[in-house]
Amino acid sequence: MTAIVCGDHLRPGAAERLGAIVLEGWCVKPEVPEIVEGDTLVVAACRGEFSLGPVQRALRRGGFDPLGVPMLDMGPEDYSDETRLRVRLEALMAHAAAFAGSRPEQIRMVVPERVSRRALLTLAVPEYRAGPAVDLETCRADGGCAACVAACPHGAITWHGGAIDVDRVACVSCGRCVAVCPTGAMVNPAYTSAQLYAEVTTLAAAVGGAAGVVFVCSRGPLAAVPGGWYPLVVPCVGMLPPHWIVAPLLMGLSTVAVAACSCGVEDDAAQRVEAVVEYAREWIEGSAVTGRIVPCFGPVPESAAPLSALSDPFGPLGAVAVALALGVAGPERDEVSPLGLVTLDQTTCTGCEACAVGCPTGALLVRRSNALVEIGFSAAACTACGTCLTRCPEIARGAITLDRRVDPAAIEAGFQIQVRSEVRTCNRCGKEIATAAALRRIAEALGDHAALPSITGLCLDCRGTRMVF
Amino acid sequence: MNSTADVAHLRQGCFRLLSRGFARPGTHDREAFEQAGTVLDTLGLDAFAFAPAVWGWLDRFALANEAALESEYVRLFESGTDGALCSPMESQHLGSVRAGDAATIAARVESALRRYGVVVDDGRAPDHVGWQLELGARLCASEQACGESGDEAGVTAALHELEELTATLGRWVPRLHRSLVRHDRTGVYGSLSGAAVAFLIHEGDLVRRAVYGDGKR
Repeated sequence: MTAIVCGDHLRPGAAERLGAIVLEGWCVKPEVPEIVEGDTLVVAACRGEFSLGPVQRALRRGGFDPLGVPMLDMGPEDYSDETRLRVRLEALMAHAAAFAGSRPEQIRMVVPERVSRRALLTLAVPEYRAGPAVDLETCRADGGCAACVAACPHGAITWHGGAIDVDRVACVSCGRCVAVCPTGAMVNPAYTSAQLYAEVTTLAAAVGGAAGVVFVCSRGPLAAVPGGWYPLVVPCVGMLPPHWIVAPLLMGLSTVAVAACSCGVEDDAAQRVEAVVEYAREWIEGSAVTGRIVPCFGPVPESAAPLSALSDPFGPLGAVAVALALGVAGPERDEVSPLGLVTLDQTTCTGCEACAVGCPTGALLVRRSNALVEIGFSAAACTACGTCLTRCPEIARGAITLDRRVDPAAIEAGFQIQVRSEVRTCNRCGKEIATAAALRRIAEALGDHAALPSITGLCLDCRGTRMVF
Repeated sequence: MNSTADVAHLRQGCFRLLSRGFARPGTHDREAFEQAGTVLDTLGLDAFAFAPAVWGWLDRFALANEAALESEYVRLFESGTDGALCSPMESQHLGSVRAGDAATIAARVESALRRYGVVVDDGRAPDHVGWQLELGARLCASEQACGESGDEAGVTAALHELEELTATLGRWVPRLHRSLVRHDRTGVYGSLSGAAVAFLIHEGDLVRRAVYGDGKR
């Protein structure tokens, strides 16, 4: 692992102190020297003195994938405190080491402003940002899940015949689709859960309770983060779910803050951040501190579980790990809640299984035994994506409800059967027809229709046979 | 690299190089590809995200055994009792919906090739990926010529055609790539199709941004 640092503002001898390659004038003329070996690299450039396009070009020439090379923007707070700079470099090296590669569809071109419909004849060196793309293996759009479509504020994601399509031109990498994806199929290669976990773990090991992290937006101008705080760059702070904010506290850092959104691309980002932070604050019952970087959190409750209990807190089911570690229920019925509790109503559910078939995480499951259909729910796998609500044909009658809240007790309770229904068999051949509840519902809808005994008493095959003979 | 004409020149080179990669291997390919790589490097290929994929393919090609490459080409793209193992023809991927689709596709591509002065004369079908990439090169050449003469309408027209071409290729070349990755024993054709996919994705985005600007489509 190597770090290249621009030495323009550093004191002499910084290379030894930082354990990095320090090069004068690197921001102006970026190059990757041949002595750089291995496949992990971090670059530290001076804030406001470099252009992303030439840096990415230099990285490509050096054999690196620019999306896998984190950029550290150095400011006066870093030049004056080399210990802090070293810790930041170490954290980003951990981030880079967790990079799993990128695919062409995860590269989003950012056209400089001077290229427009009316200026087709000029073009600057292009810049590229990491964008989200779907992993077809884990995406459950075929089951009806469209959580990313609903979350995208730019209409860049569409659902067509059971597949998700991301329009890279309309996408602005806000990251909301990544945060809501129940299966982790939507991936931004530069900000994966493994990378964030590695970065926070390294920071926690290096500074422990002596410092806090600040979530900052990657798309706007990077704000100066004062001493004692370490920036944690995410696509945009408007994407943050509450458990991402709580997780660093559980990993050993004393304070977490969310910097005000600096990109301003989505109008509702500030409002969302406020709601999420409020939720997280209530969740951990901490005290708020306000300042330039707002809002901040107080220390973790003493009841919190140790770091070892936390696995992949930034992953799709990270909220479960955080909830179990905190052991505290989240605020009730909050739209911000990262988890949910599904309740099936025994009296109105027909046992059609549509909810379980569509559930992308397997939180709703069907069990069949002894002519019984049982549908159960596990709170440990529910991300409150709401796919089950869109699939249920009896939702108007209250067959299914989703309560968006975090309840560690429900998570610990595990899989619970909620609905049981007998399976009725054909009076003629003994084959399964449907659940008793479904047949009752049909009878209710048909009233005293002449075909009712045939529909509820015979399977499809025998119904056809009987009509012929 | 200051103008879209320069960029069009570079893209033209990429289209043509990839097109040549999908042709039957010849004795002078190694030298020709090496020279093409040098030219693309001079034109600033590294500024673009698809550059590593192109370099990766050229590196693999440079190391590959010529005879093995030729036999692999035949095995992948030409032989087979019920068609090629990894068919490089659009009609084999998109032309199975209605009777006559394959012929319609071939005729459409051939007509477009003729409009830009390309004569299909080497035994490959007009909808072969190599010919379609050659069409892309011709469109970029047209875009470059219009750009250099300040003809914005001509640039726009070429970009619109490129948009259609990249969208069509985007519907089946990734599938061809997956198939090649699975079957190619040399690794050269898998990396070639990977470079083609990376380039076409980039090209599609670039063209759409140039034509419609941000967020219009």
